[in-house]
Amino acid sequence: MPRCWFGPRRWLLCVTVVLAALLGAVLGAGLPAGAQAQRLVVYTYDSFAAGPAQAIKEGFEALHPGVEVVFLAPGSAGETLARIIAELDAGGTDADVFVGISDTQLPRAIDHGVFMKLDRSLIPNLDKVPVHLDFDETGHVIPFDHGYVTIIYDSRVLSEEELPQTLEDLTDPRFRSQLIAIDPRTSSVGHAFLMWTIAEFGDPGYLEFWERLAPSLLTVTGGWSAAYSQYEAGEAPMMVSYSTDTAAGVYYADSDHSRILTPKGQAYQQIEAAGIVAGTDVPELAHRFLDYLLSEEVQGLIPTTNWMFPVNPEAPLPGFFAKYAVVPEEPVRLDARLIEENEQRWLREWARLITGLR
Amino acid sequence: MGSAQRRRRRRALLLLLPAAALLTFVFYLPVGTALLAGFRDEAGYSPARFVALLTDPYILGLLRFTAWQAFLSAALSVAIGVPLGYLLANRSFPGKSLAASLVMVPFVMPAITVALGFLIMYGVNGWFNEVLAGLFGFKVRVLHTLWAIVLAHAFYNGPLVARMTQGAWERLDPALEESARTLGAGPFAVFRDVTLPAVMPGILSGAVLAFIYCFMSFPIVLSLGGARYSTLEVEIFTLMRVLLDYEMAAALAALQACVSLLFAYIFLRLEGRAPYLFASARARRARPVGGRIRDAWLWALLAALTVFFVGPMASIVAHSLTDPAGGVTAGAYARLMTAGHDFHLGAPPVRSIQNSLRFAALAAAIALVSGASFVYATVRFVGRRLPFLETLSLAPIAVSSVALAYGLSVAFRGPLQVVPQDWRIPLVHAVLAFPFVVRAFRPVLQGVDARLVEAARLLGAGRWRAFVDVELPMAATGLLVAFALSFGLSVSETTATLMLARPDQVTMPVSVYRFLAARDFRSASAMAVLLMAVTGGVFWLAEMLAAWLRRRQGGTAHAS
Repeated sequence: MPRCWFGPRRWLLCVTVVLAALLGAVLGAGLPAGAQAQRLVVYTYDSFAAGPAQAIKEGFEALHPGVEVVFLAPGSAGETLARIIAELDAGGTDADVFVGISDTQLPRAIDHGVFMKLDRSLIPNLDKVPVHLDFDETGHVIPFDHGYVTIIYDSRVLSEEELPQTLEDLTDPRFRSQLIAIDPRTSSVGHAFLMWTIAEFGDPGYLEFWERLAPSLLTVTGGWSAAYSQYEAGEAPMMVSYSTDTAAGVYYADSDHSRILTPKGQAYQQIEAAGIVAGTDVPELAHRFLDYLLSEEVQGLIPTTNWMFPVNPEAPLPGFFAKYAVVPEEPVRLDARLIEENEQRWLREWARLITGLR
Repeated sequence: MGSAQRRRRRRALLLLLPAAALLTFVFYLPVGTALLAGFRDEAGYSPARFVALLTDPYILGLLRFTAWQAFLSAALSVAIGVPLGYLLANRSFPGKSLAASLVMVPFVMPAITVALGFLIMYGVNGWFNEVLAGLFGFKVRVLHTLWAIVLAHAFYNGPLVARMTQGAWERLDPALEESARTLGAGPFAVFRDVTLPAVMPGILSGAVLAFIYCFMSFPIVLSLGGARYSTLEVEIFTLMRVLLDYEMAAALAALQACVSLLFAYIFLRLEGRAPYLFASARARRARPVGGRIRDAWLWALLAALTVFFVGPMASIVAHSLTDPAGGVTAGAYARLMTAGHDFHLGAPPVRSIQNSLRFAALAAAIALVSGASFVYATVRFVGRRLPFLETLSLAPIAVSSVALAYGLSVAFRGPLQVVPQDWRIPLVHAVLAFPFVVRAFRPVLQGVDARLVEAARLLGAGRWRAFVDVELPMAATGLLVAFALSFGLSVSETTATLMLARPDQVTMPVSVYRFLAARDFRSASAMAVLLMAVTGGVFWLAEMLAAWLRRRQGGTAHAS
C-alpha cells in the first residue's frame, strides 16, 4: 500500500507541536524579579494576606520610597511558623518579619530561635498599647490585634430563653447534636476552645467535660470554614467561632441572625503578635514596619479586614463593628508556658477521647 | 549474541535514567533524610520511637481505622469505577466525550470544595434530602458518618479506577469474547473467564492508587466525617505543624509509608498473577446505549453516575452564583478579575490560573517522560514483573504530604539550592505524579504484544520507528490517562506548593483557600469553578487528541 512518507508520523508531529507550544508558553511566562533598592519580606497567615496586607504594603511603600514589601502566606499561622522553622533549619529564611504568631505558639517559636529581641525604643506606637495586651515579657514580639473565641448561635433557631448560660449547659440533652466544634489539632479556633475548657474545668476535669459534651457535638471539623459552611447550611444551630461573627454577617450578608454567646461573661482571648525574624538584613526597616503596624491607619483596617480588635485604642472602630462585635467582660487566657509544657498530652488525651481509641 | 545483550542492557539503563535521577534527587534523598530523623537520637540511630509507636494502642487503633476506611473507599471506587469504565470503553451515548473529560474533574477539586459540594448535595437541607423528603417524607443522615468519607473518596477515585479500567478494556480483542460465545459460554461465563481477567490489571492498578490515596487522606475525612474519624495523617500533621516534634512525626510518617507500601506490594503481587491477554490492534467498536428494554438498566446506571458526579460539581456552580440573600449574581466572578482582591504583587486572582497551568504543563511533561520510559524499560527490556521495584516507584504518594513538604523545603535550601525556583514546584509535582503515570501506562503497554514489535522490526523498521508506529498508538489511551492524572495532580497539589512557593506563585487551589480565609465564600466557589472549567478543558482537549488517534489507528488497521 503506497503511503506518504510523513503519513504515520503526522499525528506525532501534531503532538510535538502542541507540546512545544505549551512549553514555550510555560517558559515565556517566567516573571522577571523586580530590582528594588530594599525588600522587606513579610510572612503571614492566609486571611491576613487576603485581608489588610495589600493596604499595608501600599501604605508602607508610600512612606518609604524605594522599599518593596512582599507578603508570603503559606497557610494558617501554624503552617507559616512551620515553614519559617523548616527554612531556618536548612540554613536561612527569606522572612524579615512574621506577622500573626499567636500567643500560644510563641514559646515554641522562641525556643526554635525564630525571633530576634526587639529594640522597643524604635517602636514608639507601642506606648499606646494597653499593658494587658502587651503580653510578651521576653521582648521578642509586639501584639497587633486580639480576638475572642466563643460559641455563636443561629437566633432563627434558638430563642433567648433556650440558650445555654454556661459551658456546662452545653452538655444538656436538649442540645444533642446541636454544636459544631473544630479540631484543636488542625485549627487555632478549635485550639482556643480546648484551652478555654481546660481553664474552666481544670486538668483532668476538662476531659470529663468533653466526655459529657460529646453527645452535643454534631461533628468536629478540621477547619473554621468547613464548620461555618455547615453551620450556615443549617446542619446545627451552634458552632465554636469568633465574637466578631455577627459584625461580619452584617457586613457581608446584611444579616445579624448569628449571635454571640459569652457564657458567664467569658470567652477565650487570642492575641496575635508580630516579630522580626532572626538573621534579617534589614532590622531597622523591620522595626519601622512593626511601628507602622501599630499606627492608627493600619489598626483602623483590622476590624473589617481581619475581623479582630485593634490593640491601639486610638484606632477608630466602624459603627456597626462597635455595635455587634463583642468583647467579653472576662477574657480567659491560659499561660503560654503552661500550654507549651502540656499541649502534647492535652491534644493526645483529647484525640483519644473523641476517637474513642483509648 | 553478547553484544546484542549488552546493547539491550545499555538501552534499559538509559531509559531508567530520567526516573532514577528524578526520584533519587527530588524524592528519596531529601525525603529519606527527613524520615531518617525519626530514627536518630543522641547515641546514634535506634528504632526506639518506631517500636514505641508500634506498641501504642492509640496509634494501632488509628492505623486500623485508616486502613479500614481506605479499603472501603477503594472498594466503592472499584464498584463505581468499573461500570463507568465499561460504559466509556464499550458504549457510546450522548455527550460521551464531555462525560469522559468531566469525570476526571473531581480529581483536581480542592478538598474543601468537595466538602462544600457534598454539604449542598447530602446535608440535612441538601438537594438529595430535599428530594427524599418530597418523595418519601423522610431524610437520611449522610454527613458526619463513615459513609460521607467513603462516598467523597469514591467521588475522587472512582474516575481513576474507571479510566484505568477503560484503558485495559478498550484494548481487549472482541474476537476473544466472540469465540468464547461461539464455543458455548454464557454471557456471565465470558465475563468471568475472558473479560474480567483481561481488565483486571487496569482495575487493580486503579484500586492500588485509590487505596494509597485514601490512606493518606485527611482534610476530607475531618470535614465530612469529623474528628471522630481521625486518620494517621492527622496525627502526623499535629506533630509536625502544631507540636513541631519533627522526630516523632518522621517516625510516624515512616510507619505510615511502610504500611501503605506493604498493602501496595500485596496488590501488585495480585496484579502480577493476572494473565495478560494481548490487545488487539483493532479498535473496539463502541455500541450505542439504545432504546431497547435491555438497555434500560444502562440508562439507569448513566443517570445514577451523572447524579453522583455532576451533583457536587453543579452545587459548587450554583453556590458561586448565589448572593448571600439568595438571589442570583455573577458578582463573585467579577471579583476574580479585579486587583482589589490582591494576593500577589498587584495582579488579580485570575493570574493564579496562569501559574497553575504553567506548573502543571511542566510537571506533566517531566512525569510523562520519566514515567513512560521507566515503564518501557521494565516491560520491554526486563520482561518479568518486579513487584518490589514497582512498589518503590509508588513511594512518592505513600509518604505523608506534610513530611514530604518539610523534607523538600529543607533540601531546596540546602543541597538542591542549584535548582532554579521556577523548576522546583514542577519537579516536586512530577515526582508526585510519577506513580500515577506508571500505574496508568504499565497495564496498557503490557497489553501490547511484543511480537508485533518484533514483526515490525523484521519488516525493516528501526526500534524507534516500531515504537512510534506500533506501540505508541496502541498505548495512547494509557498515555492520555497518565497525562490527565499528572496534570490534575499538579493543579490540585497544595501542601508542598505552599511550603515552596514564592510570593507570586499563587495557584488556583491556594487562591480558593485565600478567599475562604477572607470569608469570601462565593468567590472561593467561583475560583473553584474556574479551576474545574480550566482543567476540564485541558482534559477535553487531550480526550479529543486520543479519540483522533484511536480513529486514525482504527483506519490503519482496516486498511492493512
